[in-house]
Amino acid sequence: MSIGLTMMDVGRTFEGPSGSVVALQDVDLTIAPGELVSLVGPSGCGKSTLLRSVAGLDTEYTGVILADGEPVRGPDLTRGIIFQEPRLFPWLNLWDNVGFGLRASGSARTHRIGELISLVGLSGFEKAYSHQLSGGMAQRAAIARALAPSPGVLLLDEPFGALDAFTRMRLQDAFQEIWLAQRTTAILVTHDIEEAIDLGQRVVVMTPRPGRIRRVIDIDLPYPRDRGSERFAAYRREILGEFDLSHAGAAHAV
Amino acid sequence: MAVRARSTIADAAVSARATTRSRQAGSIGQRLRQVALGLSGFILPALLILAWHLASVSGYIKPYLLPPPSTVVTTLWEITLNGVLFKHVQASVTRWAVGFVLGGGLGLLLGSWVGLSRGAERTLDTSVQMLRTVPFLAMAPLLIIWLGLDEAPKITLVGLAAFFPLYINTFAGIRNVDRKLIEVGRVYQLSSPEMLRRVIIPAALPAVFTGVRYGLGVAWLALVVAELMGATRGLGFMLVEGREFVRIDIIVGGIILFSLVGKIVDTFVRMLESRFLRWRDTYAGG
Repeated sequence: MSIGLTMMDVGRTFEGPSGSVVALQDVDLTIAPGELVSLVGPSGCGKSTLLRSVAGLDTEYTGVILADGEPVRGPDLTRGIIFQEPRLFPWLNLWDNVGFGLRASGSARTHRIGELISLVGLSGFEKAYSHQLSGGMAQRAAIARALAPSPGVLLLDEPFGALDAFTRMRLQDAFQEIWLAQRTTAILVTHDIEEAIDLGQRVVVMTPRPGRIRRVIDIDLPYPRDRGSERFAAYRREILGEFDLSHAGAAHAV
Repeated sequence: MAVRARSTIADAAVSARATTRSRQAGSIGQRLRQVALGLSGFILPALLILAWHLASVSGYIKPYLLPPPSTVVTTLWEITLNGVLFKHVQASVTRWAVGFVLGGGLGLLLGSWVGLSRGAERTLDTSVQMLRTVPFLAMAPLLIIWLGLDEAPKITLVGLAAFFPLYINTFAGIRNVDRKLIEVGRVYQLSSPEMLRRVIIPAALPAVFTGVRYGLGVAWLALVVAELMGATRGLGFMLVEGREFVRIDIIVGGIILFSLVGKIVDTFVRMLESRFLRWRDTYAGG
């Protein structure tokens, strides 16, 4: 079910009015089926650009991106995406939003949508329109919608970034539970270092100008992870160090 | 880790709000209140009619300038009974409907095409925008010479009036569709017809409804002009007839009928609108 991803020498240059900007350069990364990898870095490091390229939403990249051994040339139902905003269709209720990308019909469809809504903990809200949902609930619905076609890869573009701290923690937990149960290959783009360590089996550290991979760190901690532990803090220091933020003052500020 | 429980107070509050909304139409008491609130819009017209009546009976208004409301009502009742009223209303509403469907339909089609295709926008939009600056009522004499005095010039004038509101609002509605939602459609690999049906049309629908309501209003106006210029039936003809026989009661009755029919149709479109756009979360006024 889960599929692997390979990126070889991936680059992306944007032509702007003030000349060209190199958003991505020399990106090499292989993600095994079932693996959860965090991409972390400051804004402008190209992490979202890389994710959009893997999704097939931006096909102007150079180099090679393979999904399940096939070159990525456009969006595909085997690659599900969750954006920073829920992007629910305001004219559809929760039930129809979750079923938006589902090709199945009849009882298979009904069963699948019901199952997904209960998986993300939104049972009872099937008829609610998006403006009646809180930010966290809407993002849960977006997760369910992305899971509906049973994608082999989940691409998450700062999915918890717009939520308040408490809702974010709950959603990170919910997502972790789902991932542990399904083991779908996933790339999580984030600027939140703790989130990257908490969820990822590996953390890919990216730096800007030009956007490239600086380091890949294996997170050797069992799930669920204890954010207060000494080893968690050590990983955090290590990653902060990659951004030249390792000196005490800056580390505390973050 | 204990903080990370799943259900939340905030979520529960939202659910409570959602259920009250859906229950609102429920109880009989509330329904009666809604009816009462709906009728409150008629208070002002009723007061105006009362003032008109009082001014008439006290002699402030001369009956040869404006007959009392009772006379107007009696006249309307008479022509209802002898079938004249129905004939005129039917003629007017038919012209209105045919003209609106033809002109508005064309506006909807062209507006959609120009909205969806930048090529079509380049070729067509400048011309349409230029034509729009021509006051369509100024076309009336020309239409009579070209199309005669029968139904054709009237329906064309109504159609012209309905065309532009539909064209402009459909075009704008499509161009205002959130690019992010289009992207979601791409992620789920919608074909072009599916994208149109499942994303673009529902997203553009509020603007199209605005165009429909505005277009119906302008078309109704065009109808009055068309019928005043020469017709043998229709509400506009009723006004002309009233003037020729100096029957102020008929003229006033005709004006009232114009506004009544317009209001009824607008109410009907509003009902359709709230049926199709109930998902909207817009400011309802304080």
